[in-house]
Amino acid sequence: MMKWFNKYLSVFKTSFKQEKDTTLNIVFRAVSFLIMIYIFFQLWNYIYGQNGTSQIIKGYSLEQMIWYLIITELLYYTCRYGLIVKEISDEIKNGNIAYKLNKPYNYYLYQITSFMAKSCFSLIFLLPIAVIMEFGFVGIVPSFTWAQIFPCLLSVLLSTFLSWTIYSIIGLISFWIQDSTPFTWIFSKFVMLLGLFFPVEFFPNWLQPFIKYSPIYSIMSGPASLVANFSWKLFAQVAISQTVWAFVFILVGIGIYNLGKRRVTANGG
Amino acid sequence: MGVKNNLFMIFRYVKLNLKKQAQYKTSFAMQIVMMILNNAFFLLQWIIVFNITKSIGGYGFKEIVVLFGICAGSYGVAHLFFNGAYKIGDLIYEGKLDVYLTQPKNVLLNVCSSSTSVSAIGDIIYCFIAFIIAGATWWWYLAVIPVLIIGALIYVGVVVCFQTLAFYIKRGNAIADMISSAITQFGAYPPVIFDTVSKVLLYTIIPCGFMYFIPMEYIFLGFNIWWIVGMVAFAIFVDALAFILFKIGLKKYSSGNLISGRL
Repeated sequence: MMKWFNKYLSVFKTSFKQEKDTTLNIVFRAVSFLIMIYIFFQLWNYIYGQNGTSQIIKGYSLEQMIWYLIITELLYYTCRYGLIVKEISDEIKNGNIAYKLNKPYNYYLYQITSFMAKSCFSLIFLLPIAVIMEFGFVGIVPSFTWAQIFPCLLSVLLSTFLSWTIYSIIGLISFWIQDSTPFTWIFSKFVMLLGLFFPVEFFPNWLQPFIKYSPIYSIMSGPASLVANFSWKLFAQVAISQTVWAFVFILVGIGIYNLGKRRVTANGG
Repeated sequence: MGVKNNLFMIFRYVKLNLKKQAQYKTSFAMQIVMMILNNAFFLLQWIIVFNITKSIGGYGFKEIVVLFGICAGSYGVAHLFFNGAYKIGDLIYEGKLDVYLTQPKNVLLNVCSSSTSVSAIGDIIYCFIAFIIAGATWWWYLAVIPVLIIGALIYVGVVVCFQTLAFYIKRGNAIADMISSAITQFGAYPPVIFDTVSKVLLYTIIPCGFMYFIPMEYIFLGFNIWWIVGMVAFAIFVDALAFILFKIGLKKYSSGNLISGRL
């Protein structure tokens, strides 16, 4: 077990080191992150302004709403989901995956670990920006306590990990169709709509239970709600749901990979 | 004659590129359909917003649908006809411009129109679907065509201006990508929410104002000929600037001595 863990830890470390070469790209990504937050801040400031800034909309004050959005945007920008799908898709399409089949690791777990390292590297840049922007725009959430920092951070990391388990599966669909990128667009839009833009309370009552039990809640709304409105009970709910979904998707992903790799035809050369 | 030749080249490129990509029929159709669905998700976001507030500075659901339709359509036209513009920085960085330099066509136009995005067709179709959803009157469907073309010309012009930074600095294309992404991000929201500082940016380096807000406010929601003239003038200015900057930058270009061909 320890040997197995060390193997993937090495993959993590190597990918993390490689990310140092992309620092400039991350800086530009951080600017894009700033722009998006700025747009959302202007939009919600206007909406709350129209209705009176002291107003609570669906249980969220302006401060809580902005904190929610900054965390969901942080999660969105930390996971360059398009990259993992493109990488897996390309390797399957051009046959390069054949070189990785005989390596002493599971390709699906390798990709998750490698991209998790990329996310952690991005977080080093994006997290301080997110915190500074939060304080700059709306200040501290009234319910904030120092004790919530570690559970919130853990939830953010679990959310990132869960995203990679799902997007890797979408990439593996390329074993059956030529390009799985369009599936990424659709899934990412579900994530945006049901998690990134709005807390679960903004949706109709009949839809809320479906969202709460979906993996999208574990990826977006769960961790963001935790930051905006922390409680230990909510943390327990979110952490359990993230762990269960991650476990389920890893099993599904390994299963799909084992089925898919039988379809690889090596042409030599 | 030159204009006719260049237009012929642009349409020929689109035809050939689409033919090439249509050999993967499922993937081809899926890219278009998925892009339409992808854009349609945007409407759901606004349905929820308008559940909270009736309008945002005079922009109701119908106006937002039209605005995003214009935004998607301009993006679609730009990526259908001039997708190569978004790759100029990479070509410069990798020293792969040589193949275009040796051909008897305008280099910038040749590079820009050499690539076509299939999903862009979905964006253009979505624009007209958005107009149907918004219950647009007949002349809106006609008026939107030049609006999309001018919007796309501004978009491509700005992107080329920033892509030429790659002649001078390593990874200069990252700045162009950032501007390109900012244009699509800002353009999908009603102009009224933005403060003065943002508006200055939106009418200069991130010209969503000229691409989306002017047509929306002064063609579809109201009418002001001077703003429309301003939009056309800005398109001419920014495209002329793109040609000048590219020509100046080209003097700094060094070949990668890569032997390559285009099929």
